[in-house]
Amino acid sequence: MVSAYLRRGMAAGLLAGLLAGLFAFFVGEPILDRTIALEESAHVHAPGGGGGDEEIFSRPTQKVGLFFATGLFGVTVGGVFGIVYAYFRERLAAGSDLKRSISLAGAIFAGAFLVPFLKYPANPPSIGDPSTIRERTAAYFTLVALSLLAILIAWLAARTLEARGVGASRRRLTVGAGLVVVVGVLFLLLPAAPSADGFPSGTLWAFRLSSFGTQLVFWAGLGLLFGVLCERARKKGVTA
Amino acid sequence: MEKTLGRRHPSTLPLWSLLVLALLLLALLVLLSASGALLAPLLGQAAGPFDYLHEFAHDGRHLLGVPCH
Repeated sequence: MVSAYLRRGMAAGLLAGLLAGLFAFFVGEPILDRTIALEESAHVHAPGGGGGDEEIFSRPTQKVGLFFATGLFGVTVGGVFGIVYAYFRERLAAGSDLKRSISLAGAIFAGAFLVPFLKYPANPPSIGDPSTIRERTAAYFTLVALSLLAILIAWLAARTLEARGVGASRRRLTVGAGLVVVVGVLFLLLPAAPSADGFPSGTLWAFRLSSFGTQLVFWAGLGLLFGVLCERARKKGVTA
Repeated sequence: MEKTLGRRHPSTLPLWSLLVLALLLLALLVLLSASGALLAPLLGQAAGPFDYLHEFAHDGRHLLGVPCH
């Protein structure tokens, strides 16, 4: 039943989103505060400076908003995950719902976040020209869609090779090399990432790592929790 | 990605779930990227209120790694 998977996906996603929010709150926010302080001190030097942009919400309110964002992100991504899982469940080789859930979460993490992150790593406020936000947003989501497609094709190719009796190590090497080439071509074709010139690189990379950690916590949490919910339902004797 | 799959095996996922999928993806895009500046060419003046969402979800957007402004 797709509806049961959708429900479990949204529940697991909400929890994973809040966990990722906690990680982001304790690890990411202190760094984000530092980058905002840097941004404001840069604005002071600008003509008529002082406050920089007018703020709609105070910083403490935005930190509440963090949990709103990661929680809602979790519910929606979790719902998508549940429906996609319902489609792939019978097609994945892994032996249990927990293993299937974790491998699907790993594959989507790679396509939706990891590969795009290598080309367009997360940036703190003040990096990137606000007048190019439309182009940068379009390029980012284009890369997300194409990376997911590349992972899907790699999986289909691996299945085809397996059906033809190609051994596991040769299969991994072929598909892995193909994926690297495809991702490399995508990186070359898409527009360059915005320049972070002049931004302190220690703070920049601390911020990027905290962003990476936030996504990792989310996808690990989603894969595990969704798998556990499916296993629990199976033990209770609920089919699907 | 999901749409390509839907077409290849139309019988496996019911239509309602594909509609829910599309709605969820749309909601996700709005949550992660909608802002006055982004939507102004599409919605004109009506894009303004999206700045409240942009500012409230601001820290989440940056830490989830999407381009923010």
